[in-house]
Amino acid sequence: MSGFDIQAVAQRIAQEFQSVKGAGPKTGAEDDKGGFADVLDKYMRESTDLQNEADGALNDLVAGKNDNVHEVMLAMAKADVSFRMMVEVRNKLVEAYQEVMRMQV
Amino acid sequence: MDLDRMFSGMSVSSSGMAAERRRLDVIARNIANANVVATPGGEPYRRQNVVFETILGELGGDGLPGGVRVKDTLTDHETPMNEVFDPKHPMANEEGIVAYPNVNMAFEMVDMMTSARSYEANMKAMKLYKDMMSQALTLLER
Repeated sequence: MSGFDIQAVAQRIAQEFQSVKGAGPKTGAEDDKGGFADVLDKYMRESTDLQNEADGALNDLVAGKNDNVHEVMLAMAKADVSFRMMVEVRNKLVEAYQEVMRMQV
Repeated sequence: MDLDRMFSGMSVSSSGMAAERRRLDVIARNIANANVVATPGGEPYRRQNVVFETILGELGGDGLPGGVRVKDTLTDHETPMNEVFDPKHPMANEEGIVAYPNVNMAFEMVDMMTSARSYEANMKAMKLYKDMMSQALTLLER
């Protein structure tokens, strides 16, 4: 379980989105911090945090520190839903990007 | 964590489930000790009961009543002990009466079922909450 870490993947994808953003024409809005890549990056971090939390809860259960099975299930459900939400948002973004790239000039 | 607010309702259900589990622990203790005439203190075992309390504002986020937790485990001193005439019993008093615990098995069974059903209801609420969020996620699909 602990070997799975999407932090690196998250950073990689965020970097790629940053580079895509940088490759486009300068619009003067480059400096604003609320770019979509940042939002996505934040989502990914939150999602990773929840996954780490689920990992920790599972380890606690196995180590006997916690005896409530449903709390582990809750942590895992949280991680699951947040990860799926992040993936959906990312899919939509990539879809929009591809739609623009296919556009006839 | 910011994203945690998304799951506030699930945390409420989770606290309810944890509380019901504690209640079931105490009921199991009552049933297991139903025939204990001498606890380490020398007294017969007395029935125990849990008391729940609401955690205000901690889980609800916006000051609404949050989850629930076990406030205290109380010992039942009201219900009289189950007195059985058995002069040969080592714990019998001068009149030959042995005081058995004031645990009524039928009551414990009903409490146990209530506890299990409440756990189930919380489970259902939590599952529905999760399903609702999953439903919202499908909005982005085409």
